[in-house]
This record gives sequence, C-alpha cells and structure tokens, in this order.
Amino acid sequence: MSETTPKYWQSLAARAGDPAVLERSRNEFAEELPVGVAAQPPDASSRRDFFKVMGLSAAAAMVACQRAPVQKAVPFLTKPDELTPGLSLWYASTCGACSAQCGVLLKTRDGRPIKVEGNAEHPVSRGGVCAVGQASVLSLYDANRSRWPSVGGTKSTWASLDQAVTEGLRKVAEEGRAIRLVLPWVMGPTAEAAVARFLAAFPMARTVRYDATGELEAIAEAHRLTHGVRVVPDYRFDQAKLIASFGADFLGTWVSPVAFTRQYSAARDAAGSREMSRHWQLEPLMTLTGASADKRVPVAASDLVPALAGLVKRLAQKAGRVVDGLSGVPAPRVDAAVLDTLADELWSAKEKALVVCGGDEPAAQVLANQANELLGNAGTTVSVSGGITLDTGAMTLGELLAELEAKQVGGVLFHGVNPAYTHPRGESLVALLKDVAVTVATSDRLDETASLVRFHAPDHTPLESWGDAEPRRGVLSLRQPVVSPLHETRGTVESLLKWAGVEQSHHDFLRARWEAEIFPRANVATGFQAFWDEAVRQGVAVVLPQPATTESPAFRPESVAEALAGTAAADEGLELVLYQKVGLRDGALANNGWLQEMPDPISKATWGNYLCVAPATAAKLGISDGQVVRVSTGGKTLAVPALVQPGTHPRALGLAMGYGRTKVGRIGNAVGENAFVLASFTNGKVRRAALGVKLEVTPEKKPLALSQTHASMEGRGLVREAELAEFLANPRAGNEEEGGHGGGHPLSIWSGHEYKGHKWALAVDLSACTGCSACVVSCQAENNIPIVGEDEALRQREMHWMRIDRYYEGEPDAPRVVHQPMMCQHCENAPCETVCPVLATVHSTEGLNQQVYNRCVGTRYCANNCPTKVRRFNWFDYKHDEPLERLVLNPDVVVRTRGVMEKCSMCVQRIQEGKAEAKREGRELRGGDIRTACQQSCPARAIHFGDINDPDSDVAKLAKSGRAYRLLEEINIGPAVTYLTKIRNTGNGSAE
Amino acid sequence: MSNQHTSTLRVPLVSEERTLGQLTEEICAPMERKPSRMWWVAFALAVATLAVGVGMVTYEVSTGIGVWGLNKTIGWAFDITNFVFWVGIGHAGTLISAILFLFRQKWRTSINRAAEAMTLFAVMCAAIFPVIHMGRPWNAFWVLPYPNSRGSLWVNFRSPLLWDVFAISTYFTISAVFWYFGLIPDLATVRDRVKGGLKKAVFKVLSFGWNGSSRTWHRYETVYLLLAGLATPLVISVHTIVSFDFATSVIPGWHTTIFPPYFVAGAVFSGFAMVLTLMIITRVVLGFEHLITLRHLENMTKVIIVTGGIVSLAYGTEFFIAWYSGNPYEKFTFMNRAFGPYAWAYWTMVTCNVVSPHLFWFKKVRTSPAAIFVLSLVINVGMWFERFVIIVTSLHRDFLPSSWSMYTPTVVEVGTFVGTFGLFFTLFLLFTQVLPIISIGEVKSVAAFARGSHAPEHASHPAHGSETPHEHPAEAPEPLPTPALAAVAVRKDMPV
Amino acid sequence: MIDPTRATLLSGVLAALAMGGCDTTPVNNNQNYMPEQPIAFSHAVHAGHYEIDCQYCHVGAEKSRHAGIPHAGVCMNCHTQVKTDSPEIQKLTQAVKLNKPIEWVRVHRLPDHAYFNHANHVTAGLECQKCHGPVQEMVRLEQAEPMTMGWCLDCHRQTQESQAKAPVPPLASGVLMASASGVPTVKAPTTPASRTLNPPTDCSGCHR
Repeated sequence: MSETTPKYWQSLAARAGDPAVLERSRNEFAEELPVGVAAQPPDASSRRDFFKVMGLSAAAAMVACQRAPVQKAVPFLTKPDELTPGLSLWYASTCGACSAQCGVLLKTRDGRPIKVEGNAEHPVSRGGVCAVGQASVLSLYDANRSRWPSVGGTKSTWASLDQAVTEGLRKVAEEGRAIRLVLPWVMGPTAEAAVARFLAAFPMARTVRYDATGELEAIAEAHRLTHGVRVVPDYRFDQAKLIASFGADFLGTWVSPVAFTRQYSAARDAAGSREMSRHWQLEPLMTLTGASADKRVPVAASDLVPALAGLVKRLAQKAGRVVDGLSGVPAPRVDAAVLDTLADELWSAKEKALVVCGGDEPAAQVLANQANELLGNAGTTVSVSGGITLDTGAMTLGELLAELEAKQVGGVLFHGVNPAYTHPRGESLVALLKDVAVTVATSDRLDETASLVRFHAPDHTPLESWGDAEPRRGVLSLRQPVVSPLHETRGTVESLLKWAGVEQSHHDFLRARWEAEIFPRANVATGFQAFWDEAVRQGVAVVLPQPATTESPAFRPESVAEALAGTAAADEGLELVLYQKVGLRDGALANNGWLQEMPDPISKATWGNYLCVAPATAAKLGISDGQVVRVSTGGKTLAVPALVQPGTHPRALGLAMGYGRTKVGRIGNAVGENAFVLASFTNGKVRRAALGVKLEVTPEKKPLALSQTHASMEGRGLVREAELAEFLANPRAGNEEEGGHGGGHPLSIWSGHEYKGHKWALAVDLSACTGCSACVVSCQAENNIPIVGEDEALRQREMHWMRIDRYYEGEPDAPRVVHQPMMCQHCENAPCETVCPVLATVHSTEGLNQQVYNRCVGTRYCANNCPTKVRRFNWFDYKHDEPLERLVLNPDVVVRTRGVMEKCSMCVQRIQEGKAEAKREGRELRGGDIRTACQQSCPARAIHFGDINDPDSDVAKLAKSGRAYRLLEEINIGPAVTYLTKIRNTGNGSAE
Repeated sequence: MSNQHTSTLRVPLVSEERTLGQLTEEICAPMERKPSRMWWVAFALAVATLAVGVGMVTYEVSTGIGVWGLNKTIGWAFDITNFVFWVGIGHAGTLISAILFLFRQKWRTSINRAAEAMTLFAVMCAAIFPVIHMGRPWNAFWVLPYPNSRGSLWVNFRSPLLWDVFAISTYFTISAVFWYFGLIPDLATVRDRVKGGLKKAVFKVLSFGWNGSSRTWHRYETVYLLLAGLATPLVISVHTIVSFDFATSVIPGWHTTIFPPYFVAGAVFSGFAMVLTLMIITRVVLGFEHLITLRHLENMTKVIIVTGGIVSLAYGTEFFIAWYSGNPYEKFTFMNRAFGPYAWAYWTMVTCNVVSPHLFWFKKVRTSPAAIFVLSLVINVGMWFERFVIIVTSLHRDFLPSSWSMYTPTVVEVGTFVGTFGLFFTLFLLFTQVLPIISIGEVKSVAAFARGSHAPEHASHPAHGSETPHEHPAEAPEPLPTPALAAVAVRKDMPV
Repeated sequence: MIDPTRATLLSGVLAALAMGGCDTTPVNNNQNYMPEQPIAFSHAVHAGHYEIDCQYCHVGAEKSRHAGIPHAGVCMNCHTQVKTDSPEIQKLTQAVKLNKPIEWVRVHRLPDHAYFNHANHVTAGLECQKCHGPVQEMVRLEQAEPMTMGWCLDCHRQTQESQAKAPVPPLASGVLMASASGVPTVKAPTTPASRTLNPPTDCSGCHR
C-alpha cells in the first residue's frame, strides 16, 4: 500500500521548521503569485501576471485547441529551486472541508494546487477522500471569496482592523460586558489552544459551539449525560459483525464518512475474508447508507426514539437487567418482529455489535449509548476514550440568542459557522447584532452572517493555512499551506492570537505547541526537528493519547431516565425531516459547481433540493416528480418541487439542507430553497426532524435536473447479485448467466487486437461500492470536466465521464438499491471505433479506446453507437471564463473545445506519466505505480486498475474470479472493465 | 429511343393532337414569357423560407449544436431524419429517367426532366445536413482522404458515414451529368429560337454546339443509354449505403439486415410521391395537362401502391424478426416503438405509409389529381416520420436503462428543416423559368402523330434535330396497316 | 467555346491545391520561424563558442516536460562579472532590478493538444539538435524542423523499427526528480540496464 502512494516532497518539510527559510520560501511564493498578493480583482492584467509566473507550462492547459499567434515565453525571474515548470509537487495535509478531518495529499503544479487525493498512510481515512474533500480545491479558487479584510463593508487593512478590534474588545472588557466566540465543535487542538489563549486574555469571553446539522452536538450532549464528558466516540465499523443504524447516514454524511466507509467495506469483504458483517438500517428517508444495508426498515422519524427504546428494552431483558425511564416512551409504530429479530441478532453478536444513531435528538443518542452499554461493546466497536473530546464549557447558540436579546453581549466573533443562514432564527441576528459593539466574522466570504457584522477578517482556506486536527485520540493530523494566500486573508488562529495580544504567526504557534505538547508524547529517539519534518512529510503523527489513561468513563444508568423525561407520542401526520445531501452537506460549499452538479447518489438529482415523498403518499396526494408543493410548519412555508423517492417512510417527507443560499456567490445563490428556516426552535433547542407539517399540492411544476430518469433494470443482467450463503457455496452464484466472463463469441468479423506489452483494465467491485460518488468528482477534477449548469443538466447534457447508475429492485416502498459505477468500457470490439469517419477514436496497442479530441469533427455517431452511452459531447464552448477558477485546470489534460466528443480515457495522462517515469528510471513498471483518479479516491477500494496481461495484478486475478462478469457479452463488445457481483448478507427472512 | 410505335390500344401519352411546332412552342413558352404573378408570389415565399433556414443554420454553426434538442443519449434526430428524407426524395428522378428508360417506359418522357431536376435539388438539400450536424463543420473536409502532414492521417474506411460521402457525391455527379446531357438537344432548340443577345450566347455555350445531325443524334442516344445504365445501379446503391448508417450499428432497431431493400423501396415510394406533388402543381400552373396526362399520374400511383406494399412488408418483417430472434433488447425496442412514449409518431407513420396508399386501388382516386395530390403529401409526411421513428425511438431507449431519455426538437431544428424546403422550391421555381421542364425531343417521339405517318414535318426543317427525333437512320418507321396488326407488331420490341 | 472537360479538370486541381493549403498552413508548422527577441541572446556564442552544456540553462530538459527557459538568475551567475557593460546585458540587469521577468518570444511550440515531454526524449539519449537543429550555430534562434505530427511520427516509427539500443540514461548519477511525485529520491548511482526504445505511435502517446 504505502509504496503505491506518491512520496511527498521533502525539502519544504525539511526546511519548514526553520522560520528564516520558511519566510524566504513564502516570499518566493508571494513573488510567484502576484495575483495572490495583488489586492484587486483578477482582471485581465493580473491574469497575465499569473501566466508569467507559471512559465512555459501555463499556455498548455489554459486555452487548449486554439491557435495563438505570437506566444510569449516568460521564465521566472528567480525560480524557487524546489519548483520545476511541468513537474507536480505533492504535499501531505489535512482536509478542512468538514469536521471529519481526513488525511489528504495535495498535488500542486507550478505553485497552484490542482488535485486532492487521499493519504493512504493516514491511520483514520486510509487513502480515501470524499466528494466534498475533492471539491475543496475548487473552492480555493472561488471567485466570490473575500479578497481583503473589511470594516463596515468597506475595504480595510489588517493593521487598522486589528487596531479597531483590539480597542473595541478592550473597551467591552472594561465595561465588563460579555464576549462570545461562536465556533464549530471541531477545530483542531492548536486552534483550540489559540481560543484558550483568547479566553485567557478576555476573562468575560466564552465559547458558543454551534453545528448546523446538530449531529455532533447531539452525540456530544448524549455522552455528557451518559458518560459525563462531551465526546464523539471512536466508532469501529471494521470490528462490527452486526451494525444497527437508526437513521445514521454513516457512509454518506455522519461524523466521518470516509473512515467509516473504509472500515465498513473492509468488514464486508466476503470474497477475501469469507465473512461479512450484517447491516440493519432503520430510517425515515432513503440514505446512501440505507441503500447499502442488508436489511432496511423504513421508520418514521418520530418513531426512532420509541424503536430504540423498544430495542433497549429487549436487550435489557436478555441481559437480565432493568433500564429505568423507558416506561414513559410511547410504543413504536414498528413491527415488533423486526425489533425482536434485530435484538436477537445484536445479542448473538454481543460485543461485536454496534448501534449507532443519527439526527439531532440527544435522547435517541442516549438510548443508542445504553444499547451499546448493554451489548458491552465498549473498546471493540465503540470507544469513548478513543474519541475526540469536545468543548465542555461551551454555551449553545440558543443561550447566545437569549443573551443578545438581553443586550448583555459586547462582542461576538463568528468563526466557521453561519448561523444567519443555518439557524431557524437566523434572520433575528440582523436586529440583534446591531446592538453589539464589536462584531467580527472570519468566513472566507461576506456570507449571510459576515454581512451582518462590522469587522470581516477573512480566513485562509485550509489549503492556504497551517493547522492540525485530532480525528482520533492520539492521531495528530497536520495541515500545511500548499499555496501562498491568493488574497489578503489571514488565518483565524493568527487573528485570535493577535487580538489576544500574542504576536506569533500561526506556524510558529503550531510548531511551538507541537514541540511542547505533542513531541513528548511521541516517544521517538530523534530530536524534535526530525520528528516535525517527518510529521509534515507524512501529514500525520501517531502519539500517545492525552491524557494517557484509556479506560472509558463509567456509564451513568440514570441518564436514560433524565434524557427521556417528557418524551411524548407524536401524532399520525406527515413529518418533515431535514437531511444532508452527500454532496452539499450543510451548504458551506454551496458555491462549488462540482458539488452542485454531482448527481445525488440516491435521487440522481443535480442542482437544487426537493421534497422527497414516499410513492404511496405521492399516489395518495396526487404528487408526481417536479410537482411544486407548499410545505408549512411553525408558521413558515416553502414552495419546493417534489420527488417521488422509493424507500421513504409513508409519513416522512425529506428536504435537503444547504440550499437556497443568498450570499454565497454566483454559482450557489438561489439554488433551491433554504430548508433551515423550517427547523423548529423551542426552548433554546433546534429540531430538524419529525416536524409536523402541512402539505399543499399546487398545480404548477418545476422540472428536476435528474441525471438518471429510469430506475428499473428492466430485468437485464447489468448488476448481478448473490446472497452471502449462496456465494460461499458457489463463487459463481448469481453470475451463471450466458457469457459470464471470458472471451465472448467465437465468431467475429474483426481480427481482434493483440497486446504485446500492457493491456490496461479496470475491475469494479459492486459489493464494495456504496455509491458515494467521490470518484465522480475526482474524475471531474482530474480531467478538466466542465460544469454545465442547471439548464444544461435539465437537458440531460451533464459531462461527467464517470457516472454511477442506480437501480431499484422490488417493492417501491422498500426497494433494494444497487449502484453501478459506469465509465468507458474500453471495448475490445468497440462499436464507436468502427463508425468514426475520421479515425478520431481508435484502439491503442495497450487496449485503450482512445478519443482524440483535436481530430474529432463531432458527428456523434460514436455516442449513438455506444451501448453504454458513456460518451459526452461538447454542445457548446463550456467557458472557463472565470480567470481565478481556471487555475484549477490540470495542465496534463486538454480542455476540450466546442463540438468534440469526449469520454473516460482511463486517466491516460497518468498511465503515460507512470510509464515515462519507469522508463526514465530504467526499471519495469510496478503494480500500483499507476492509479486512476477514481481508484485513488475510492474510500471503499471498489475500483481496481492495472495491467491484465500481468497475471499477478489484482485486475487479472479479479477478472478470473467467479464474481467477474462483463457488460453486454451477448453483443460481443468485449469490455475491458470487469464487474464483480454484489454480495448481500440478508440471511434468512431477508427484505424481499 | 424515339423509334418505336405506340399501340393504338393505349391511351395516348399526349392527349391532344399537337404539331411538333406547337409542342415546341408550348414547352418553351414559360421561358420566353414574363413570369406570371403567381410564380412571383410562390418564388417570394420560397426565398423567404430559405432565408429562415439560412438564419437558423448560421445561428447553429456560430453557437453550437447545443441549440438543438439533442442530449447525451440521443445524438441524432431531426438532422439525420431530414438527411435520409431528402435523399429518399432524390430517388425518383434518376429512377424515372434511367430505369424506366431502360425498360422503355415511354410514359416517362414528359416527366423525367422535372423529376431529374427534383433529384438534384433534393440531394442538395440532403447534403446540407451531414455537414451542419457536425460539431465542427469547418473541419468537414477531414472526411475526404487527402495527403496531409499528419504522418499521414487517413480516413476510416470502415465507417458507413464515409461510404455515404462517396455514395452521395457519386450519385449527385452522375444524376447531374445525366440530367444535363438530356438537356442538350432542348438547349439547342432554345438557342435556335432566341433572337440573340446574352441569352443566345449563354445557350450557345450550354448546348455545346449541338447541330441535330443524325450522327449527333446517334452518339447522343448511345451516350444517353450508357449514362442510364450507369445511373441505374446508383439508384439502388445510394440508399442502400445510407441504410448502412443504421444497419451496421449495434443499436437495437438499427441493427437490421433488411434495411437496404427496405430503404430503397421507401425512397422510391417517397420519391414518386414528391414527383406527383410537383407535377400536379406544374401541369396546372403551366397548362401542361395534355403533356402530363392523367395516365402519367395513374402510372405513378401504381408504382406507389407497389412500393408502399414493400414498405409495409418491411415494417411487418421487423416486428416478426424482433419476436423471432428472441433478442430481449430487440423485442423491447419494437414494443417501445409501437407503445412507448413515441407511439404517436409510429402510428402516424403506419397510417400514412401502410394504410393511405391502398386508396389508390380505386380508379376514382387514381384519376383524380386532387386526391392524388393530397395522398402524395400524406405519404411524404409518413416517410419523414418513418425516418424519425427509426432514429429517435431506437436511440432514446437502448441497452442501459440508466441512460434512457427523451427528445423534443427546438425551433432551430424545425426552422432548418423548413429552410431546406425553401431551398428546394426556390431552385425548382427557377428551373421552371429558365429551362424546358419537359424534354421537347422526347415528348415529340410519343406525340400522337408519331404513331402515324408524318412525312412532311421532318422534311421541312432538317436542321432542327430537336424537332426530328424520330428520324433515325437505323430503323425508319413504316406506316402500319391496321391497329390490330400494329398491336402484334408492337409485341416484339416493346414491353406491354 | 469553352471545353467543359478541361474546365472541370482545372477546377479539380485547384480544389486539391486548396485542400493541401488547408493542411499546411496551421499553427503547427512554422518552420524557419525566427522572431526577434527582447534581448539579442546568441546561442552561437554560449552553446557554440563557449560550449556551455544545454542543460546548464535548460535545466528542465532532463526531468520535466518542459526544458524551460532559464530564469534571469542563471544568466546573472556569470553576467554579474562578464560583459556587464554591454547594452544587452544592461537590459537583463535592469529586468532583475525592476523585478520584471523578461518576455522572450517563443520559437518552438507545439499546439496545445500535443503533449511533448523533454525528459522522455533526453533521457532516451536523443540529441537536442535532432529536433532543434544546429542551435550552437544560431545567432538568433530559429525553428529548424517542421515540427508537424508527420515529422514526429517518422522518427517514432523509424526508431520502433530499428529498435535502437539506447545509451544508459544520462541520469544514472542519481538525482532523478522527474517522477509524478516530483520527489528527489536520492539513491545510490545505479546503472540501469540499457533498454530497447519503444516510442509510442498510439494517439494517446501525445494527445490526452
């Protein structure tokens, strides 16, 4: 594994420690990137500057396939010695796109980051990276980011801002009025240390922690009740034999999806370990996780607590113990048999079982903890001591709002949160913040909240700043800047320190803290310098957990009763559930075109949110796809299009959060409707699920931009399945069909190709694939695939080279879901190749089906004749007209012009580079030297790439396995992509 | 060609007695008098429509194919439908002039000229689409094999699209030559009639110094025969090859072996319908009822019945094979055609192409120009839908249900299609004004008197070869004693 | 009167010529292109007379796709002492003083859709002159070869046929940076086995 990952560029790491050198290298960067330090919008002139600094390689990718008259070649004035035009540099760092903090590798080219990949040496994320992480590199170049600090909405300088803020805060402090820091729950140890410094400097300052989706908050709160500490435990799905998830979308959005997906698929590798965990999912909406579940039971949101209570009851009986407080809980509207079976299976798995629970309801979390406690799985599948401890002294946003109304607050700072948008009472901040003397926001743009404050101190993006994270106790993940700041921004840690009167750069503060606190726990023989260099090089350091004690705090049995006090029965009406989409999450990256256009793994909808309605309910109310319905709750009403979503509980309605933003930028503004306003806010607590709603069906329709409109496989053997038992008995189970695998028909009018050297091939494990779509975005980033926008998506013209087909089987109310990653099959007898009149698509000597853009005249005959319809046509010139945003383009891949066909090339640029490298080093190509973008980013390791002519490569092995089959053998196209049958572990009495 | 005698039992091909001089007068009249107001109106209309088309194409080429209604699943729709439609129309002309000529079908004489012209114009309209449907039409010349500095990058001879390039260009060239060659004697007639000036000079050049000598006539007829022989296989080949665009693909609904005959029959079917449409208008407008007689129309309707039958059979066969092959994809495609979202298009096609031709079984319908006119239009609509159904319904739901999609045309596509009609009629209207739309020389050979003795006529002006077509050194006609005998005599050299 | 046959023949020829024109005019062939440069730098002096190794200035050639144009720093290595009074060198020193890079006019360029990798060719032991002509004799740089696709392919095909044994890659000394990761993997100087070259003739060799 480790030898397959790219090695990181050492010299910065080696020198990063030495401030002087670092300073110099910074300056060099600054000199290279006038656009970065230039405090004006990147108009034409600054773009030219940028071309200058990029030297020769610039022209290559920027305006491909166009004739330029006289070209200037502008070398560096003084070239930084670590940088050679045309060579990629890799840096290990930590993703900052969500609170999961995965380890990533950042590929930079000529000083600009162009690709995010997973860091396989990171013990938590282990090589995977999700769609959101992938997309964060595009957000770096977001043209709508603030380019300078501002005071009262007008441009300012850091010096004057700092002065104003420090003075303001001092005055507030003298008046003895409150100062509040509104922060996300997870920031990383060093950032927390900086916050602590700030709190120390201002005794009347306190932290307010806020989490837009409420999930972390609920978990932390529950553990405060059950274990006395605010902690998000360390879940180990790879240890679990039986997983029972109550509405936790742990493969898609919950806590740490990438890490969990890795663990999950590791524990379900039937072919390898001959055994696989069983996964139960009880949930109101069809989630990515539910789609992979072996047994999925639709349960209304309001029934999750009762159902959990019922489960706890049963487990308690088996354990011969009594759990107080359950009596008050209403009986669940769930088939008792389901809970019985689940309880039995859990009990037989005992400490190898794991119960997790999603949503923002602490009571439910408490019950989940109780269930785990009864199962005694602490330390095996869930570890409180191994989790991340969260700010214990923090106030909630509700409390802050109360204080604001009472006008007790003199200063508020918002960092990493956007309550004006994400909080149901967000709009009240408009008035409330007026009376606050010092209001500061550090968001990267003048978003909904930042536009309400006086001082805007824009933060770096994670790619521009230092930092660290502790995704698991003792695993310290380091973040390093891979590009000098594009704009006049400043790391918030640095800002906080400055305002607290500490004159220290972020880097120095970080390094000092590591020297003082991390290094001693690392027990390494080398000196700190060596340790630090290694940490920066690796992007992660594993040290003794702090505090050293590992036994978890005791479970407080009385907590259940406390938590469940006053749980009332919900009525029979429709319930709205606000959920997160895998792509957009809480909407922080709503201005990211890649994420907006990524089809939702389940609904396959792009651009905008919609109300998910169960088929039965839709039929009853006469709702069809795209029908606009008016959803009303708590005096608020939204008009949104409906989408009939199989697998939704008849009483549940789903609406995605993160849309309908107003101040995020040209891409994300006014896409969809803001669901947060429908959340309820009662006695200081936000509830985002089980909201009683009124539904009003309007006659009008708003078409949905769906990338897939037909959900049935029509009985065609495209995705093949087997039950675990069957598979263990017969490796070809479910795959007996004609053609299965191997050579296709004896008769062919083509002579066929022979491959003396390599023959590249892919193998896709449908059993491992969860449909998370990380590969889709990874492919888009790697291959300069344009964003076409909602209108074109509505016309079914999205350009993704790689898509994930999603089919439903069985009952629409409780369907079984299969995902099938679909890319160019690189057919042996490719139908596209024979029909192109100008030989723009031809077969290579290594089995690739090559598409030559600059030869293509665009007859589209190849696309018509493609049985898998993976070819994409450039209907227009998809402008990369935003000068900043096109810096993300990969110079190794041509930007296609209007009127040409394009498609998956199996990342031929990586193949060529890998071969060239081996050649230059005078060695044979090693397996794993070349990894396609989709393969690299897959958290589940479902995609395998390699040389099928090399018998030792895993593609060759997989292609021979009993699970292997190829698409459409009957028409003898001979795909180079092998699919492996999906194995389910539904056991007896399974869903169907 | 002009040396046979016509049975007196047959309805004469020129219904009214005319002298050769009168015939010449009549046929040349449209070119010599000022265009009528009606013509001007029609012409203005045609040019306006053409302008629309030009506008649409300009917009499409300058903006991108995206202005059409196509998507990731459906890469062809209106563009190729129109292409096949027009190529189909382009069939009747050469068929009438070449094949009917070889079969000595004399009734062709008064319609072949116009029909050939129609062929040329239709093929021009057709040729537009393969070019503008390209994403980068400015690179269209890459489909031609020519020496280049790309070391050296050739074209793909496996690709049916390339075959199209050759088939259609050949077909167009031969048709043009055939048509022009047939014109030469008449051009000479016009030349001799005009008083001089530019027009004379032009026709002098155009008629290649034709001097109706018997040797000239002899060579003319030999070459004409050869050209006819050359053109005939092309009539078959061109649409056969167009059908390969679909037949050689893997898409269910396209991948069918019966396409070649099916397409050729369809082409003749629609071609004759179009000829009828045009002829019925022309004969009224130019008052040629006695030259383009009901018998002509009737004969053509008979051809339509036959070809219509073949087309219907093809439709049936497709379904049978889809079921008989047991191929689930095929089965689905055809069920989807008849009962899927595009069923309306399919049933329109069936009504127009399968049902409507059978009205021609009734003599009343066959002999009523009005009825024929309406039906000919109906058939053209039907044949357009045939191509639409084949292309779109096969593409929109193929192997992977995940990619299934729908297609709706945009105004640009419709406008472009309408525009091609503008081009077609503009050219045809010009043709009626500048060239003799009926072959003077040939029609004379079938004029009523040509069946009896007519010594004085051709003796009078020997110079005008064009007016003495029947005068052939090889066989001089003998007056026949009785019709009965004539009928017998006729058998040996003329198909009945 | 006009002879139509001759006319058609003539027009045919014209068409053919026109078509040939279409192909030979594009950007990818401006052989003998010799633009004026902002600084009258002479390869004849540096590479020819003083026999400075190409890669002393064009450092990228052996590790990267781009040979690269030396940054002013490289020039100043010598020209802080050498010929400091010459007006041309003045331009250079000025540029450095004003912190303003020199805008050379690019001579050798392939269309953007063609990917050429210097490192691959240099490490395969190809003479710079093979493609760039006798640079050491050029006072002002000129594009010597047509640099068309055909021209590239000719060499690739010939090499494939001849299967020429390549000399040991010049980088055996160790400092191999041209890896995808750009990592200076400093390893003991190994002598890679001399290999048979197999230059690609696939489209994807250059078009990606």
